Amino acid sequence: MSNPFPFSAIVGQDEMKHALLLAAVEPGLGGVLVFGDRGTGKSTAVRALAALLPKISTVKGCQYNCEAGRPAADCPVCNAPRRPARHQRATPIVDLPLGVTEDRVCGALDLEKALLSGERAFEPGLLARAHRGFLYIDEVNLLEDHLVDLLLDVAASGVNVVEREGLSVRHPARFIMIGSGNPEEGELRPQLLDRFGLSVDVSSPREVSTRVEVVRRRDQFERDPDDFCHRWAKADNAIKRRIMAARKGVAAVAVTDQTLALAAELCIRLGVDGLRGELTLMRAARANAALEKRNEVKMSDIVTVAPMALCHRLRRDPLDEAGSVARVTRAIDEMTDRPVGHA
Amino acid sequence: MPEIRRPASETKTPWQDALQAIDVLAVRAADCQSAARATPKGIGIRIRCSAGPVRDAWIAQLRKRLGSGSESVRIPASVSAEALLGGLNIAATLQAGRPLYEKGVLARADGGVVILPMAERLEPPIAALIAAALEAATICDRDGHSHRTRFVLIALDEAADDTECLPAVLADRLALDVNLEGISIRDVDAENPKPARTSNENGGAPVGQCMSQDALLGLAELTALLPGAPLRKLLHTTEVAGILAQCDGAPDVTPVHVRDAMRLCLNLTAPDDSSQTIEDQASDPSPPPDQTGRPSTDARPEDTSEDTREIDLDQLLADMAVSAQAASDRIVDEIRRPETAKAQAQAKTGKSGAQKNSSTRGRPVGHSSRPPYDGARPDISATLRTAIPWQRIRNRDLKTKGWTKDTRIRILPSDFKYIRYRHRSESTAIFAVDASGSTALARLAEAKGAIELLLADCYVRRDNVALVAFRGAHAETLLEPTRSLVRAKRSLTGLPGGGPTPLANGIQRSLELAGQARQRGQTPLIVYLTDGNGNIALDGRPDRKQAAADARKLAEAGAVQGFRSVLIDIAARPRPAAKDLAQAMRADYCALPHVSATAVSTIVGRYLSDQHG
Repeated sequence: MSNPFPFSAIVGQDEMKHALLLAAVEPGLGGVLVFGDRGTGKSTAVRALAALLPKISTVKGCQYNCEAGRPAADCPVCNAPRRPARHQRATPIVDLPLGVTEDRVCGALDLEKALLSGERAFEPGLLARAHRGFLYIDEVNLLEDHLVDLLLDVAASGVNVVEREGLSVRHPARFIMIGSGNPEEGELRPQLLDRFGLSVDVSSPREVSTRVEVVRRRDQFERDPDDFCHRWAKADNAIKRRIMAARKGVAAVAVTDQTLALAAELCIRLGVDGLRGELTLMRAARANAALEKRNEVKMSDIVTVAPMALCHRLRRDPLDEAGSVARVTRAIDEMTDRPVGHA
Repeated sequence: MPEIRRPASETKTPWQDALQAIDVLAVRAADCQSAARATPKGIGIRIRCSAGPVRDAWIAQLRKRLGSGSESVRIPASVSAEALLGGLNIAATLQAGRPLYEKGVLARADGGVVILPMAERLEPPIAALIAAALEAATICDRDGHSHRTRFVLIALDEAADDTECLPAVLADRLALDVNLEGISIRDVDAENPKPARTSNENGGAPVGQCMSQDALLGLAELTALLPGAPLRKLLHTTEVAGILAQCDGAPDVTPVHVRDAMRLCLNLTAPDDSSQTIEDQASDPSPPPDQTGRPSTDARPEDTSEDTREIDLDQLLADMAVSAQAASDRIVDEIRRPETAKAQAQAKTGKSGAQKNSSTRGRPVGHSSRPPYDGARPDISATLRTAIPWQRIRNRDLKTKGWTKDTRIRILPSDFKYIRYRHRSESTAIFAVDASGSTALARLAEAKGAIELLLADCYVRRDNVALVAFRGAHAETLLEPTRSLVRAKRSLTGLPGGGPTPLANGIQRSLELAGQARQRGQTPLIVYLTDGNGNIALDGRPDRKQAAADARKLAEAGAVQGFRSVLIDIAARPRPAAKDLAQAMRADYCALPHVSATAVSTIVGRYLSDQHG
């Protein structure tokens, strides 16, 4: 596989990149939903991000990406009597194609083994492969309903349970879900929408200079990918180090009662259902603080992440013409007593 | 103003354009075959034309041009994801007694040509797979092996009318867009194709021609004018301009190349280009003021090596900007037009035609020996039950075929049994709203509110909603069946109202929509909001009597077709006319003198849930 396009070389789309970084720092956030026009570098950014993430340590031959030393109960490799060899592998990034079957997603009886040797073995699916990594769903709003059901369940519990064809397997499947799509092609089911921690809207850049820069970098990349990646390696490494540092630091970031109160008030004001909004807001703010190398969450963190953490959780009001991002910013402005743009 | 010198030979006929597209494809195909370049990627072209001699001639020309080195693979629109991707071949594996893998169609096409006939019939998931293979140049098969897929993709878009179109996910990734429609076969015959000139024959033709800064800026502006400001179009156009320059052996991309690339990729022609007359050029209006705010420096590249073909870049871009603006307006108009909006809605949600009679979920309703859907896995216990009675015979038979490994049970592909499922189909609520008369605005507004309320909570039920409004001379589909609140909001912003009542036409339009919904395997529900008094006949004449007769006739026709319908009488004082009409169409009748969005959405919501229950 050739090099992916470097993350730092992606022109513009800062909000999307920021959201992806937050998700990478804090896996507990629950993933990112990127909604918007075609050709805005959604897939490119996701693939580029995977290249930035640290390698995960796992066991050779393990199909469940088990953490070394903490194997899944049903993993045949990790639970073998002989201690298996450990190795490092890149953070998995697994595509969930649209037309995929349920068997392929959650795993099923290994037909090959069943038919050829009569052995009843479980063949892990995409969810097992995405464990400890990313699950990327392009055109997430076109996904079949039965797959959405399946994903909802697994994303909520972090465990994939397969009960079929005489098999009974459960294995951990904790992944960061990244979805992308075009809202004009259909809405996303509210339950699935709620699973995504952050949501960002992207649109085609309209400034000429940005567009030109996109073409130029793409052209350079296609002519000589190695050289191009080499030139951006420094910037990429900086981001990589930032992610690593933030991952280490995120647990130690303190959240004051004051900021929590702000988050809660914001959610109440916007009428966000449930507590997931506050939780996500707090986690995202913490990740943001960690990314900025601070060990305390400030008001500014909340303000920065609030639009992406909350805009998809607002109850849809068909009669409100303003976009949900606008509603979030308006609420923040009202609360922080900053002048509202138009007086 | 800079003078445009354009020899007569310079105005290209559509067929010449098509041939030029072949040049571009040939260059890329050569790249795909040789592993010399670092990351050669495939290239795609969209040929808009119905099947016919012209298209055949074009394909023949392409074949001749590419030579025997590249094989072509035809992928039918009904291809399954399994066949595209490849993986373990179960049938062959069972026959041979050891795992046999098979390459998918896309992987087999590496270095060759993929022809997609009837591309407009592709289902979006399949189109997405092909698009991914085209763009990433590698695919991963079902068993996790990755294969190279660098090919020339020819999508034959045979969409006859606006009801179907190529799935956007693929269309967006096709670099070239050529329309062969309207080319006469005589033009084709008269054409003596110029000798093939590929980069190879140019010997040391420089690879990777550079585009001038101004041309790039101009193109970036231009594509930003197109609806949606597609970024991929910009990338493709620059790429094609580079290839064109490479074909000509030019060291740099000249404005001629830029213009040709724009024509091939964006389907844009400079305004004077389409008229194709010298007179027109003479009377060419002075270039529009530099609307783009670009510094109007002399952008002419120093090197315009190609004979006399010399056009001014600034002028070209200004012309094209006008053209792009016009095209943009045209496209926006097209999108606003109900018929096309429908086509897109269908194409995007992937429901055009192809009734889905096999479901991947729902209640199991027995077994079948054929897979009910692509990628179905056999039901193991049923398969074994089928296989067991044959074991004694097979053991003897298979020994002769060289099966030595002792497996306890021999299973052949013919034993496979699959579970069939059935699940309830989704519904489409079609609102037919009387938008005539003085209360029209209020009524339409309430109908709009009802639609948005329904959409806001109908996801779980998987219902679509459409809106037909009738007023003035005829009925109009304001909103094609959709499930998207975003889309509904956009289509419903303008609300025309007032004028006479073409009730018959409204019923007709609703029945058409209902018929289409049924074709897609959905269950339609028609909701009429009217007082039952029409005064415009079906042919558009103001004739109250004829109008009533027409309405009644159509209502009966609808009853015959068996669409479920509700008539909500919105007259302040309900009169028998509406009730009679409801009886004629065997609709449920419901008087609602004070129509409100919530009341309507409650009634319709109840009907929809009845349909599900």
